[in-house]
Amino acid sequence: MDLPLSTISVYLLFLFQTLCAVSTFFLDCPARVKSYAKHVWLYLLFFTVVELLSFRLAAVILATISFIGLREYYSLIAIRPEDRFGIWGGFLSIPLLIFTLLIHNHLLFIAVMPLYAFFLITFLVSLGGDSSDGIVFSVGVIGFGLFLFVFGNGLLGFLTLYNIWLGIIVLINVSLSDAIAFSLYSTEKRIFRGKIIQYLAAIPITVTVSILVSDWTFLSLRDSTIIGMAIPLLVAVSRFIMFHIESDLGIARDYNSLRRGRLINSSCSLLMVAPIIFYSLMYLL
Amino acid sequence: MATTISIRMMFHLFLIRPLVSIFFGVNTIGVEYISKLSQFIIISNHNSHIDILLLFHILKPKRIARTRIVAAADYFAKKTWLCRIVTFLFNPIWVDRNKQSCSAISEMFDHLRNKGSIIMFPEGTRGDSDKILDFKEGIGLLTRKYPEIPVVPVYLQGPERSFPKNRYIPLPLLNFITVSPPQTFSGNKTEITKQLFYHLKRLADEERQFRQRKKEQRKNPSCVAVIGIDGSGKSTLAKNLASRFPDNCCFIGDSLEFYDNGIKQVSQPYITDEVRRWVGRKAKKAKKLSSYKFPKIAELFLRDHLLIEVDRWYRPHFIFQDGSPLLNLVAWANLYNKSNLDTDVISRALEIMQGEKPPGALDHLFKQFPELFAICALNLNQLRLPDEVVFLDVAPEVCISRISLRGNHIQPHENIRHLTQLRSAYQLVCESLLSTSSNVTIVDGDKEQDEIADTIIGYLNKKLVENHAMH
Repeated sequence: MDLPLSTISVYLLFLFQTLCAVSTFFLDCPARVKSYAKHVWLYLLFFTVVELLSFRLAAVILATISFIGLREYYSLIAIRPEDRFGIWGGFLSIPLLIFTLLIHNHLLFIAVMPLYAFFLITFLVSLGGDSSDGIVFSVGVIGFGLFLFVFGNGLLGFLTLYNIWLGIIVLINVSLSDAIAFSLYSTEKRIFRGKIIQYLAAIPITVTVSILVSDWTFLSLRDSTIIGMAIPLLVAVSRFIMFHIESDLGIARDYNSLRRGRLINSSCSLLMVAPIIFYSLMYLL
Repeated sequence: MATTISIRMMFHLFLIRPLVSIFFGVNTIGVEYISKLSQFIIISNHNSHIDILLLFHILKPKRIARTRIVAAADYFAKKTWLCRIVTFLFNPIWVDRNKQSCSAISEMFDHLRNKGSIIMFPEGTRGDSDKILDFKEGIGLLTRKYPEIPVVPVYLQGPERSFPKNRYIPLPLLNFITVSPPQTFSGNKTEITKQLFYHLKRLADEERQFRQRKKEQRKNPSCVAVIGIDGSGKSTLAKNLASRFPDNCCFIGDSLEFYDNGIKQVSQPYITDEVRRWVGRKAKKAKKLSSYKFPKIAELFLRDHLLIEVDRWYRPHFIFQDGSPLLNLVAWANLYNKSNLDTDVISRALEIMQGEKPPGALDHLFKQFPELFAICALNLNQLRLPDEVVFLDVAPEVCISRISLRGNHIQPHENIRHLTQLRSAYQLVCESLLSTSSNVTIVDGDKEQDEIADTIIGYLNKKLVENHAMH
């Protein structure tokens, strides 16, 4: 069987990550590392299924990740009994994600999703009950979950649909940025304590990786460099945002003991970065 | 029988458990406490139908067949199909909550004697979210009879959001099961029941603090109005209450004062208050009853508006008022009108002045109470009814002597005839309020001020505790 090098690389990446994820269970790793390894494995499974089987099947994996993420997020937020329709609306955006992915129509997806969150979710929340107290808060929190887990995953899916290596390079660079930041944080050296420093340190590596796979991503040297430089910065900003969101959701406090919010913590960088990279590649670069 | 048990286990292991895991997601803490036990009684809070599924989810497969749940026959009997499904899946011990029968208890005793385990919800019914109802004593009875069988309290968090009472479609949300270490008890059934209740409540309190919450909605301040005729000492009492009440309080009377736990606070000047006091001084200088009327009405409306401003800018927990704009207006109407008002007219007037009921243009009430028409026409009928009313009932003669002792300018209404008329008007207002609510206290104003204040503070504190318990 004569497989191209790019396909073999996808399989090897998946194999490598499978080994990493399995080994974290036997090694004395922090809960965050175990969870992160599992989450990267899940996305690599998606890419492998795209390469090995079909995009249709892979779309189901992406939808499952969205469902699990939304379920976790909606379990942690303060909801009112009246928000039940709105939350169902949030979950029902996942079939819409699959539909637009299967008909290869990213324009429909990026046009419908904001309208869905802005109009339909608000309508469903309003439909929920007699009390209007807290309705704006509810629309906001439900909409945020929708954008994070459905919109973010959806645009990662569209990146993959156009070129699988575009999706993979986003995942690799985000994971590398997080991994480097986490290692520097663990060294406890004063110089590396700053969040920006932790993420800036990843730039040489992410730029190199982006350039190395530029033949497979079909990005020019300039665009690869920009992507390589932008991702660590975006990850730093995403982590900063999610630090505050996680502390409000109570994830930071009970992450290890109660295992709440692990998917949110692991996937927030990727899901915040993916839409920005998608738009940059589509309209700017 | 054996076939039924096998099929039941298959259903649990290959259908219910995967479905519950996929749809709801189950996170367990302390499940090892149950795994080690061969026999147990599980008690849990009960908010949803999926509680049963979650509790069976944490059992070891070999324990499923030997564990029975205690279920309400009167509820499940309403739907035959549901009753059949529940009987097949959980083999429950049926309890009819409407009948006094010992058959269910003896069935539980038999099951425990035969080395079986039991799951029960001691609350007896599905409660509201974040609330554990008092336990029924059945659990105390079981534990007293079989003290060697450990009781495992389990706290379920999430079902009250996923599938609460009176909802027909569940939401896919995560559920958290917290299993407490097994407990053994001695004592009588009431003591055991109480101990178990507090154990589960403590577990619930520990778990609940992790959830993200919206900020609690701010409550409107409680408004306490001290009403009475001039010279009854209402202003002194209201100020006394504000300065002695152990909270963040405000006094609105001739002056505007703020107190924090009895310590007077410095306040910023409010324009409304300045204007109100100026208008009030003008009213007091009036020589005739007719020229007193309009400045006084204006002063009362400004005083009502001041309530909104004080609430907005200072946010006190209690506002103590010298008089109440709404009640004063209605009582004073009696003084100015020739036809005597009765309680029905006063009740209608109070409703209209609060904006609760729109008045008809040709309402006969306007003939008896013409000022009301002007108030409604100007859309000023949005006055606030105080949460608590204290009526200081003092004889007009006593009041007149107090007024003369002050040495101030005597106002046109400050004479025996008018004050008697006003007193009976206030009594009518109180009567009218008492017919709809119990928030009126009539106090004999001849007593010492401190004694009255102590009584009122005690009463208000009791009310606060009651309100808190209701929440």
